[in-house]
This record gives sequence, structure tokens and C-alpha cells, in this order.
Amino acid sequence: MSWEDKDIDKLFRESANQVNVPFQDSFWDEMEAMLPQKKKKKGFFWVFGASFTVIAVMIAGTFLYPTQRPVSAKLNSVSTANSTPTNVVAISPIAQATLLETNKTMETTVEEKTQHTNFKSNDHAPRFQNRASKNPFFTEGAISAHTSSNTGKINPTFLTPISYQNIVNQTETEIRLLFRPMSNSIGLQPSKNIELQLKNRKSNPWFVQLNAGISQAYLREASTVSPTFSIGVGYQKQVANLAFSAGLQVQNMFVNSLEINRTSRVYHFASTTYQQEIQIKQLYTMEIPLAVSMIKNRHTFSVGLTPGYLLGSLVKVREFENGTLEQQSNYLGQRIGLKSLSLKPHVGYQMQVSKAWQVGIQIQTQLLDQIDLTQFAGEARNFPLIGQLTIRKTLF
Amino acid sequence: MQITLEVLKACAQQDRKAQKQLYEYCFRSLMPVCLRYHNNEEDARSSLNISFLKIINGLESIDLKELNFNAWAKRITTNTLIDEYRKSKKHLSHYQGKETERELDIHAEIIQNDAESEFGCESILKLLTQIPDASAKVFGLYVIDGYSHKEIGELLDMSEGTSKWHLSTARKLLREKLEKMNTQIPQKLVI
Repeated sequence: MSWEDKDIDKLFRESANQVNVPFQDSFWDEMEAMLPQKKKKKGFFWVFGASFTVIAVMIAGTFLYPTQRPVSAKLNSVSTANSTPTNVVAISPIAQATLLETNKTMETTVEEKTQHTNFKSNDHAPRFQNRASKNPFFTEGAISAHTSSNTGKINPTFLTPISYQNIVNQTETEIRLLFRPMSNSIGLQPSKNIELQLKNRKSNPWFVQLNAGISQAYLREASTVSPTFSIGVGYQKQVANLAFSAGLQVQNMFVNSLEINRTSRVYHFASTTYQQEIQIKQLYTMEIPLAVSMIKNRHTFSVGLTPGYLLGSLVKVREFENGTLEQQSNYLGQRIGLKSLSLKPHVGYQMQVSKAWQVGIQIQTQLLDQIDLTQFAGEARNFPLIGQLTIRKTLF
Repeated sequence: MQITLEVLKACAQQDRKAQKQLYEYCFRSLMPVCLRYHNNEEDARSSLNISFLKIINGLESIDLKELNFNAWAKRITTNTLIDEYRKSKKHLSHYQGKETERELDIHAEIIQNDAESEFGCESILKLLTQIPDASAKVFGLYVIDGYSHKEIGELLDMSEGTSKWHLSTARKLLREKLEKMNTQIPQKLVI
């Protein structure tokens, strides 16, 4: 038979259409493992979205705090018969420091207070005063000073925070100038409140931190993101605007979907198949978070690196004999298929909500895997994201 | 089995049941295409899975009402196979160059035995693996998949003239092999 071109084409075209490869369900199982997980992405997005929203609201609240009130509305000066309020000076924390330095170098004789000058607030002033006295970094803090008409001397009576509205348009130099002539000519002695504030400026370097978040490190088809929790202590050393911190914390990561299956077949008269299904439920890691932070007012931006050592895991082991479940139990401390060291760089943002408390958010990724990927059937990303909300309390 | 618009929409929304239905459909229609580009079923299935992943991802961003799914899916699969072919072209030519005369004889004998046992579609298609790879690809794209020489040239980074030459070479080599098969089967039957 001689083969013309059209015959060859027809033969191959028909043959191509006739090929029939039987389909098996196991083929779909392989394919399913490759398919994207919509739920997990959505969950990850929403949790992160919610976290960022909370942080955004907190930051917005910081700037939108209602401080734009006239001084007259806040300060209601009530003086005694022999005293007359003559001067109200508002200074920034920097000016406060200047004030202290000035008073230390000047030899002044200030008589004991003979009058009481009370500043009462009709609305927000007490709240401000309270916050200012507790937090030495509180920027709205200010000092008011009164002179006595009888003695002609200034009595730095107490700290009364006023709105920085009056000085918001003035530079720090202007504020210093505003204050210095009075201190130089008459002399000031810091009140106990001022001393207390400046004494408390150096906060305790030790802190306790709690982190809670989600990780996309190890995912399988049926799983969502893995929740992580950690708690630890740390030490922070502050140099100017920079802070260096180191800590020690224990992290617990819930990884319900990590599974390792081991099958062995024993041949005797017949053969018996033993299957061991190890489901890793939790990973316990000891971590040493190291960070460098830049502090700007109450905002802290940090970068860091967290080496970790896997302490162990909680696993559920199920043993099958010829497909029948024979035994099922939980074990603590199993390290099958796991690796010891981990390394996670991170960036973070924290906000000081009070003198002792900071809240923030932290984004980590993972450079070293904690599990042996050759035994892992799910989706292990190269640089998985780990998002965490952090709460830090300074120890006293 | 027919794939409806509802199934495609469900697949785009990551409905596993619908995706399995679509996979089974694609397996039957696209696996033969993949098998033409690979010597074994495992590699063919791997290419099919990669293609199916692209199909599922593509469903999310395409207008499903206007979609001719069969043609679109086949196009994605073919492009995937050609991409893989491009990546492995260098390796394959190196591999083929290392074949010894003895290996070629053994390989040819297997083909002959297949042809003797079954002059069926699989044996016919296996002949494509016995001719130079580029010629086989051009033959498959032109004759079976219906691409033009211009399209083949763009896909395989060659000129239209080269594509025509490969087609001519493929037909010539396939003719020789078919004639050889024709002559051997009657001999076997006579014996």
C-alpha cells in the first residue's frame, strides 16, 4: 500500500481522536492537591483586613483626639484673695527638660508657697492632668505657673495640662524663649510633680509580650491558615530614638492538617499491612526575638529577626492494620518529620496606648522550614506570611 | 458528558465537586493531546494537571458566556505542552544524541512488536515518537491540531519555511514506517 500525504494525515487524525485513557479517581486526588484554596485566601485577607482596620482606627484616634479647645474653656482659675494669676505658660516636654536644667544651675531662693492657686477644669482638664502625670512622654502635657502679686515670685504650683493649641504654631525655640525670661529673672524650682515626671521618664526596660496571629506557612487542601500564639519576656535598651530589644518567648502554632503516613507490609503466611497516620496538631517553639526599633512619640517602627528552636509537638497517632483502626492516641514531644531550627525576619508597628501598654501589628516571614518538606503533601510556600497582633506590657 | 455554564461558574468559585467533573471531562478530551507530546502517561498527566490549573485560574477572569470552552482549553493545553517542549528541547536533543545503535534497534523492535500485535491508534501515534522531535511537533500541530504554518512558526520559534520542511520530513518518515509495518504484518500472518 502506498501512503499518500492525505492518507497519513487522516490516519493520524483519526488515531488521535480514538485514544482513550481510562480515568481513575486517584488522578483527581493528585490534581486536587494542586488547586488553589479560595477559603483560606479569603480568611487570611479578612483577618488581616480587620487587623489593619483596628490599627488604622487607633492611629486615627490619636490624631483626631479632641484637643482643639480654647484654654479658657479648660482652665478655670480660682485664686485666693492674696494671689492673682498673672501668667500662664505652656511648654513642651523639651521645654520641661530645659526648665529643670535651668533650675539646677541657678541658685535661687524661692519661698515656700504661701498661697494656693487652684486650676480647675470644667471638662477635660482632669483627664488630661491624669494622663500627663502618668505618662512623661505625653505631648499634650504642659506646665502652668503663677506669680503672686504680693511677693512678686513665681510659684510653680502643679502641673496642669492644657491644650497645645496655644503653642501649636510656635517652634520649640519660641517656646523656650517664652519660658526662659521668666525663669531667668525670677527663678523656678520644679515642683514635686515635675520631678516625679522627669524621674519616671526612663521606663523599666523589662516587658512581657503576647502575640496572636495567623500563618500561611503550611497549608493543605482542607485547611485554612494556622493560628499562632506566643508569650514571652524581653528587655529593651533605648538610645535616643532607637531601641534595641531581645526576648525569649514560647510560640504555639496550631497545624491540624499536617500529616505523615507511614505504611509497612509484613509478609508471613499471608501479608499484613500496617499503616501509621501521624497528624501533627501543634508545634511548640522557643524563640529569641531580636529587634531594632525607631521611636517617634508614641509610635514605634521595628525590624527584627527571630531565631527559633523547635521544642516539640503534639501529635495524634492512629495505627491501622489492614485498613482497620487498631489504636489511636495523642503524644506530646514527637519530632517526626520536623526540623529544629527556624528563622523569621519581621517588620512591625507598635503604638503606646498608655505608659505601660503597647499594642501593634507584626508581619513575619519564614526563612527556615520547621518541617521536612519531603514528607509534606500540602502547599508549603517559599516565604509564607505570618501576621500577628502584639500586646506589650512594661514591667514595674 | 457535557460541561454547562453552571459547572464552569462553580469551578471558578472553587467548587471541588464541579472541578472534579470538569477534570474528568478534560482528562478524556485533553489527555490524548498530552500523550502526543510525551512518551509516557505520567508525564502526559503532569502536563494535563498544569494545564488544568491554568484553566481553573483562567475561569475566574474570563467571560464564561462567550467562552468556547473546548477550543480554549485545548489552546491552553497546547501552549503548555509547547512551553514544556521549549524548556526541554535542549535536554531532549542531547538525550537523543546519546542513544546507541543497539538502543535504537531495541526501540524499533518494540515498535514493530506493538504494530504486529495491534495496528491500532496507540501504535500509530507511537510512531510520532520515532521521528525527530521537531518534525513530530510540527506534524501534530498542523495535521491534528489544525494550526497554520505561521502559527506553528510563532509557537516553536521557527520560520514558516522550516515548519513546512519539518512537516514534509515527518510525512516522509512516517510513510516509511507505515510501509514497513504493512510489509511485516502480512509476513507474520503467512508464517
